[in-house]
Amino acid sequence: MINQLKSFFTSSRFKIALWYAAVFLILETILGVTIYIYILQKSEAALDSNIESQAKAILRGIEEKHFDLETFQSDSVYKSKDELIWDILYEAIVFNRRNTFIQISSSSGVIFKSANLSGNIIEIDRINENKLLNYYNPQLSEHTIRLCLLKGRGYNVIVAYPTEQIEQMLGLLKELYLIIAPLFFIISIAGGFVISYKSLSRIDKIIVKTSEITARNLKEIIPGGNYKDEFGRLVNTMNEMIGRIKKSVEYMNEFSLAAAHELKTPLTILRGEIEIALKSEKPKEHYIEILKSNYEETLRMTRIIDNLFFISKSENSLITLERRPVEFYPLLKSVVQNMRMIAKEREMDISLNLTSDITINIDAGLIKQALYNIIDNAVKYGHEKSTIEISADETTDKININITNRGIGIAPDKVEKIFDKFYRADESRTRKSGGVGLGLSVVKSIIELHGGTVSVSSAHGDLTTFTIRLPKENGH
Amino acid sequence: MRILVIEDEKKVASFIKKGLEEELYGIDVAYNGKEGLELIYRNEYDLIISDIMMPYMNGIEFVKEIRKNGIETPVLLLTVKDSTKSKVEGLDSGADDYLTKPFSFDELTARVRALLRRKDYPKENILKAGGLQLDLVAHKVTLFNEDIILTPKEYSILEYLLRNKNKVVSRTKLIEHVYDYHFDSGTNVIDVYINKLRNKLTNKGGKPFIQTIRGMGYTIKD
Repeated sequence: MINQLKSFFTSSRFKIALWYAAVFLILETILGVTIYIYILQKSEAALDSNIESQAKAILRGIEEKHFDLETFQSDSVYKSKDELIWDILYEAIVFNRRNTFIQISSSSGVIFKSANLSGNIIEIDRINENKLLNYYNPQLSEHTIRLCLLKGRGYNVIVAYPTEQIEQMLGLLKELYLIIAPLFFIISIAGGFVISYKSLSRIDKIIVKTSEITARNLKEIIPGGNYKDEFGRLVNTMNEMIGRIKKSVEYMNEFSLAAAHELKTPLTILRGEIEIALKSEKPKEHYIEILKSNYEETLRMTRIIDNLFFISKSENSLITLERRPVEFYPLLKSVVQNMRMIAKEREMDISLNLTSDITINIDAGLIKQALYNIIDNAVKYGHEKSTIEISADETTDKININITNRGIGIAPDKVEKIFDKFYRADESRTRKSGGVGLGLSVVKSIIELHGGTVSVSSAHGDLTTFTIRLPKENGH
Repeated sequence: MRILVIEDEKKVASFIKKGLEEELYGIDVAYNGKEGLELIYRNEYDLIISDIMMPYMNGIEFVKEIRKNGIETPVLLLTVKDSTKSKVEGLDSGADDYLTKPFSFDELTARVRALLRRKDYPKENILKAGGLQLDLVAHKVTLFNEDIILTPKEYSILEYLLRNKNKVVSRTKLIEHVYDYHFDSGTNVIDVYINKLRNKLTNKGGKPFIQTIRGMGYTIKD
């Protein structure tokens, strides 16, 4: 349960939903604050222009009528000063709001004040200039009062209005916001989960399928590669990776199978000979003979393992050629000289037919190895008492070496395959020789590392010719 | 008992021959299926041990060929292939048993004994006649619980006669089943061995264990 919770909180689904909600919350807050400030400023500006225009209208009224309010005399039109002022204010008062405070004063003191001011006088310090300002007087209003002071010729007009309505409106807005914002926030979390679930459910499918794949079922593929989006690409990439893994697993399986197979013959001999040696007491010579044979078999096993490693290394490009200029024909001659000793055991001879010498840039050790392997093969599968013919000539850019033996040959359908890694041509071949299949694979690897080719042509049951072509010049 | 070993790996053939000879079997060796066929048409064998992967003619082709020609000799196949598929293929070709390399030599000899017990041969590792007992595993012969010391050839002759108890065995058959093919069958060496055997197995009751059937050969009866 705890683990489930833990994995839930660490899941991408949860994180995405959380991110989504967090971004939404930030946006919501910015939006709220922006609306608040915007409405506040607009309302204040509207109020300011309102009281300012009223003040202007009053001042204009007074100045246009050219009354001297200070020295008012009652006449037929205006019985009292207030009547006169009311007339002046009429236009302004049309626009007056319930709570607009109006006060007119001159240098001698307050001339007029609206009824809602009752006993209060709005006192402003330094009335030298027109201004809009905040004014606070608890007797007039518990809210801040926005005040406009206009200075006319001899008269000061004050129009003021409490900001109560603006504050009320903003208060309502705040309330509304505090209800809606958390609601939207919750909805956004839910939405985040839905979106992350929808987009990640395909990831879940990929996870389930991938976790089922082991070395045994690498043939299976992860479905969903036909989508053209990121998930489709992910699936395709993973399937390609599985394909590559499958290839190398197959290679490893083939390799270990080949290794086991190649090692079985020497092991059979070792085991059998040792078992029989231990079965009953035998003369000393017998033990020596068995030990000699055992020694041969361990050498053979070493050779098999060396070959396997070489093929494996060259397959993985781990071999670096140590090239240097070598006179080729003396090298070939020395190999043939050594192989003649081995051919003698089967009463075979090796003839060598060379044209003039040439120097080429090769890894002499490896090329020798390749030549040994290929001639050894010719000796093993040649008829006893026959002759192996080796010839070498050159074209403009290549050296061609032909090794021909008369022997059991290679069946036409197998000719193409004998260089394949781990291929057991005529199944008896590899087994007998302690890895001829390997030997020829090694030849192919070496020659190809040098940028050359090796091929074979055979009349089944008769002549078999191996041809090695090595480039004279190489780019290295 | 005479066994043909067909194996192209000379060293394998050599140790099988040596080991089985120590078990007192007569062994012929062929290095491929074709040579094997030549020998099998020339001689009579009690058992064939054949490798599968060989040049010219592989073990499976070899078994099919001899079965087609009516040769019923039990065949034990040897191979490095240990998959079920290749075992099935081997056995279905007409072979009687299958052993994968590398094998334990003890297992090979046990399988050889098992295959030789088949058909009309008794199904035990001890052959009996009267008070005479021959232990095929320990290579021990007792007469009324008394140990009898025999040379390998005497043992082989006695074994063959006991396996064919109550039947008449010709001199030729004895030579074929006791010796390998280098033996010159023109000599009367069998008679010499039979005489030596008779001396060692003097029956207290008087009647000789090994009876001569004039003009036909020898027999051991219960």
